[in-house]
Amino acid sequence: MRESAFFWGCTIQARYPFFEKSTRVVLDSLSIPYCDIDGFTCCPEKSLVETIDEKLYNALAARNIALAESRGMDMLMTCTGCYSTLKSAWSKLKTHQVERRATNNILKELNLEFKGTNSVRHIIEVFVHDIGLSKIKRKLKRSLSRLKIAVHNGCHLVRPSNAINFDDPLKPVKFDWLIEALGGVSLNYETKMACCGGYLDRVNQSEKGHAMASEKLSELSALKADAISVVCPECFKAFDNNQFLMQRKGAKFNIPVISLQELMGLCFGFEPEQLGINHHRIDPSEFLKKFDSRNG
Amino acid sequence: MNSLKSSIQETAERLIKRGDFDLEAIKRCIECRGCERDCPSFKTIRSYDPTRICRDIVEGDGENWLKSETIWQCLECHTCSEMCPQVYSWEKVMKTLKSKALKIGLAPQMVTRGAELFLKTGRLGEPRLPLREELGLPKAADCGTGDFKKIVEILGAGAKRSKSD
Repeated sequence: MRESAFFWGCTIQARYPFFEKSTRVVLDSLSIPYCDIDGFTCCPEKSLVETIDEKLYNALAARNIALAESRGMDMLMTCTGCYSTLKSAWSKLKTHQVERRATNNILKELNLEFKGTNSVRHIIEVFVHDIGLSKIKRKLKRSLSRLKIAVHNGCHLVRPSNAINFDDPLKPVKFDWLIEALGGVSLNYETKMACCGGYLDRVNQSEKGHAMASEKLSELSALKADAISVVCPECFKAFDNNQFLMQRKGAKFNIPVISLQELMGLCFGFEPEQLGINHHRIDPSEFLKKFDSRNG
Repeated sequence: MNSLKSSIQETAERLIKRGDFDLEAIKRCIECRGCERDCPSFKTIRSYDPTRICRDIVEGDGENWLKSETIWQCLECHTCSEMCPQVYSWEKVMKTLKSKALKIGLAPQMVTRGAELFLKTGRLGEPRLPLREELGLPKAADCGTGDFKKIVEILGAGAKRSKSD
């Protein structure tokens, strides 16, 4: 497997370094080659930067891709916002000659060029397609042992599908396959594809965002889900931080948010503290107790 | 307030004339509404009704929406664009309005602040060093501020729309 430059993005490094920790633990456990390279800017974040200036948005995304390409590397990431931005940019530059020429005219000033020889990938793509579910199963020291996990894919993991193109844009399955491979039950629930609402936090409309997240959390509470699982730090924030804020105002959901990489790390035999799970705002101890007792 | 209103109106009218909106596509949007029941904001925010906005744009009253919080309720989740038979979508309409609102200083405070931070640094936050250390993470890689500034300069990006623009 070719070495990838890991693209952490702003949110993970500024807010949730433990996301980075568990991701590194899992990549190392599966011997997936990756490294950090200097010089990445923000992906950039679509909802803000494309709104500021579409040309700037396109040029910065192209530069990040070309920077990895100049080192002969693919790009790997877990934040679905970064993934959707960079993979959309990659697809456009790969297929649209006029766009590519215009962009390369800008990149030339930085001694970079988009040639289209590398690829932009999400960790789920690598887990499912390169590593494979059977190898992941062989790595397990512990199992989710039928714990009920609610997969939250996140909008930008699968859309826009004309660029992303690795799972169904409205009924994706690959995240679920990984949960099942870890021995969990991936819940089939009505609000599964509903947006986390995190965007509304960034436009001064948090309460409406909370209402959106609470629809999902209420359903999961009724279904007695053991945890909700995400791969995106923004979705994590919407369910962990915002659930905490809603509970402070009296809501009672108590649905811990355990990322895919944290679930994998636990099943590969790591302790919660080694993965940074102790830094969540929603107390995961009930979930961890259940996990331990079923693996007793 | 009146002068603000007239300048907003002027700007919006000019933008519509310049063809930022595909009015024929928007007319079909008003008829179709195939994405409506799948739009997460339409489902959970009672007042969110992009069809009303589309109608106003077609009738030449689109500028009224530039100062509303409604246009910022589009989550850019791409559900509508995924389903749109004409590859247009509500999202594109809202995005155009948001972009214009930001340029003429009518965006929500957090968006304006985010834009300022981004244009200064090329990213949306600094690595959280104490927690990185506690978790035993390696030093965070440098971000490409130099190249970022060069690109901004080449494109003249992020400049506020001047009155004569």
